[in-house]
Amino acid sequence: MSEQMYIHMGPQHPVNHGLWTLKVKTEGEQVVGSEILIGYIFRMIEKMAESRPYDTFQPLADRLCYVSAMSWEGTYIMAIEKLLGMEISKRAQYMRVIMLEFQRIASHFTWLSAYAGDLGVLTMLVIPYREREYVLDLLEHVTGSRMMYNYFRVGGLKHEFPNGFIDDARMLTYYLDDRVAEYNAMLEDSKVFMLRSKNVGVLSKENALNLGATGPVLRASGTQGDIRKVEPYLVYPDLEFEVPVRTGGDCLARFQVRMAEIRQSTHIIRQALDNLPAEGEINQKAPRRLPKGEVYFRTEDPRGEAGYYIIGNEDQIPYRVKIKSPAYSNLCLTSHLITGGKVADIPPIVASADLCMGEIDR
Amino acid sequence: MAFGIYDGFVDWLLGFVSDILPGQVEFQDSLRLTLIDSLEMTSILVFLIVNTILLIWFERKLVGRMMNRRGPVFIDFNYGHFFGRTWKFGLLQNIAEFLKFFSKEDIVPEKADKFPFNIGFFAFVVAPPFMLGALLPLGATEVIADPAVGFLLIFALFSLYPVGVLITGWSSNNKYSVLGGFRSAAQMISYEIPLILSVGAVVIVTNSFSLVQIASQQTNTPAGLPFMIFMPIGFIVFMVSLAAETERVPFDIPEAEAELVMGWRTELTGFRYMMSMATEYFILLIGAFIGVSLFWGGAYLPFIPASTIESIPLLSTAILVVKIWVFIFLFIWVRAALPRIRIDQLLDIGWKRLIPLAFVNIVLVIILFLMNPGLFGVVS
Repeated sequence: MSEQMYIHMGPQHPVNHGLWTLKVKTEGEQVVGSEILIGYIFRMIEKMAESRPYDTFQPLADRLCYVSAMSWEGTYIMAIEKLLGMEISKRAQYMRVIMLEFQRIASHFTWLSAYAGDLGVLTMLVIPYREREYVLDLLEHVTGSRMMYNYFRVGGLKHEFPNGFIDDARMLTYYLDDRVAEYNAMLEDSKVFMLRSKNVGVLSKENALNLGATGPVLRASGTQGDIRKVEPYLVYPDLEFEVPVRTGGDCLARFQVRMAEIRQSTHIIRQALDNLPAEGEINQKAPRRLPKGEVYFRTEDPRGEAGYYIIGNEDQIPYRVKIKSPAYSNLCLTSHLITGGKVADIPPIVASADLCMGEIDR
Repeated sequence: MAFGIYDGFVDWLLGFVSDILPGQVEFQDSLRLTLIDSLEMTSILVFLIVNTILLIWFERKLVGRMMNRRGPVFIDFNYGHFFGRTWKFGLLQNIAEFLKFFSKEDIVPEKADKFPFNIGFFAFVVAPPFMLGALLPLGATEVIADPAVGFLLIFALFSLYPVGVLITGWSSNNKYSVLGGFRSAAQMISYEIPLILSVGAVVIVTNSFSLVQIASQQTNTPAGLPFMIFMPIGFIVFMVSLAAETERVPFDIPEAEAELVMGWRTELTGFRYMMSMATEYFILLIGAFIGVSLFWGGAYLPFIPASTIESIPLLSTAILVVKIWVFIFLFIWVRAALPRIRIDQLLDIGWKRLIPLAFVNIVLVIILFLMNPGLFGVVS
């Protein structure tokens, strides 16, 4: 078994949560090299954005990532608003924050179940999905759709929250806090889980910065880099929350960062629900044409820094739309992380980067 | 030894045949014994197969409940609709799946080495567990064969399994299967040692390789308590090693579906796949048989005299079955709770933890035995 061989993991392989290929060069159980092949679900999303009126691209922005559709459409809408120079009401901003944070929680639950499933603890593959379903029920109650929301609008939101939403949402946040504590008891107190997560796929601080890690992956390596703090948008400066940072850089740190982020998100949601202004125009009129000019707007996606670079050209149709996907940069560094490790460490490392092929291939 | 429950039936059958053919046939005694033996063999085979099917159902249902699911529900007898719900438990799910697998095409991969792929699988993976069936006691007295070398034979047959896994994985010419096969071989070879060492302690105190004798010696201990009480370290080593031998979570490394798709059985389809999965559960069942006989007092219960249990027909079998299912429940519980560990960590645990622990156990057991042989049921 000392001779080297290539193992193709993908495009149809349980390690890929999505359609991509990981070509691993192995020497027995040791990984000596790897190559990432992507592009299987390239859908010309950027080109589609450049060939239609700017407001009609929003449903497609949902399709960038089925796990965090809200944050992708939100980022697009906010980028357009920045280009148009619009100021939206406080009430709409608070509502957006609530929606985005719920989306972050749902996304992190999906990540948790994928990660646990890759480690082989199938109970934790199923149970976070149950909690995620409660979040999605709530979002469906608001938007009418379970995953592809199409709720944001240039100038605000599509409509008001339904009756009883505030109480439901507050109750749900407390429920989720309890559940996260339960997950920690199930996973972090488990010796086998620690064996598989601790010191696995260690990403040093320098490498994290050099390889362009963003989001929880970056914060697990000891750099704060949360766009909500670095370059605040919406009403995040008014809300009090911490950005969880761990210095381990391994899969365990990434797990802990995400679990802590869920708790911070519920904290943010409760504050936003308390501070939600009673009055405010939530759907302003927006100009028909984009002005001449360019804008880069970034937000903190559940996966990291999500950005849109948009050039307007005195037209309904944007001249250029470029999407910056956090999962793309995190995918590239998984290749670096798995090299030198064991074949069995590939699934947890790849899963801990939280990939979403929809936004990587676009 | 024999079951004793078929003697009357065989006598009646032979008598019936002599009655309808008066004076024409004369039966040898050997024919009578052969008939009884084959009936016993059939009954143990049926027992094992039925239990395997039920075990798979039990695991699915139980793991489903632990995972906040319901497990199989639809394919079942029609018990009717009452108390406001349709009562279905998915009891026939496995039967339906067996039928599905049987109806599938038997595919041998084009690039596979045909001879080892076929022979290795059926001769070394499927056959040994079935052979093991003959050595299992179905109760206190319901035993087909109780050879003096019982354990040696059982572990000899057990150790054929990794050979078959390696041959199948290697010959199917698939990278996942090769890796899975090698992992399986490494895992089973390293865990056989602690397994046998933990059994060794029992053999030392009982001076016997026979499952039946070991089980019955546990009735002579203080209050008839099983060996688990007196050698807890050995029991733990045995459980962990058995989980590794049967490739159960957290040691299901050879078929780690996250990275190796289906491990060594990636290229097995239809009937072969079904047999490989059934064999795995078969081995778990046999492992439970062995564990129950060694550490849980077999077909006997503490505080109840052995003669009472033996005097009631099939009571000992019922006790054994209940114990086996409790034993298997532990494995299912662990499966629902733990992640899978890595192959190097697995080997570390095996060589650096379990083998020293097994030796510690042996030393402790010897000291205890020398101090008080009655603790282990030795009547002096």
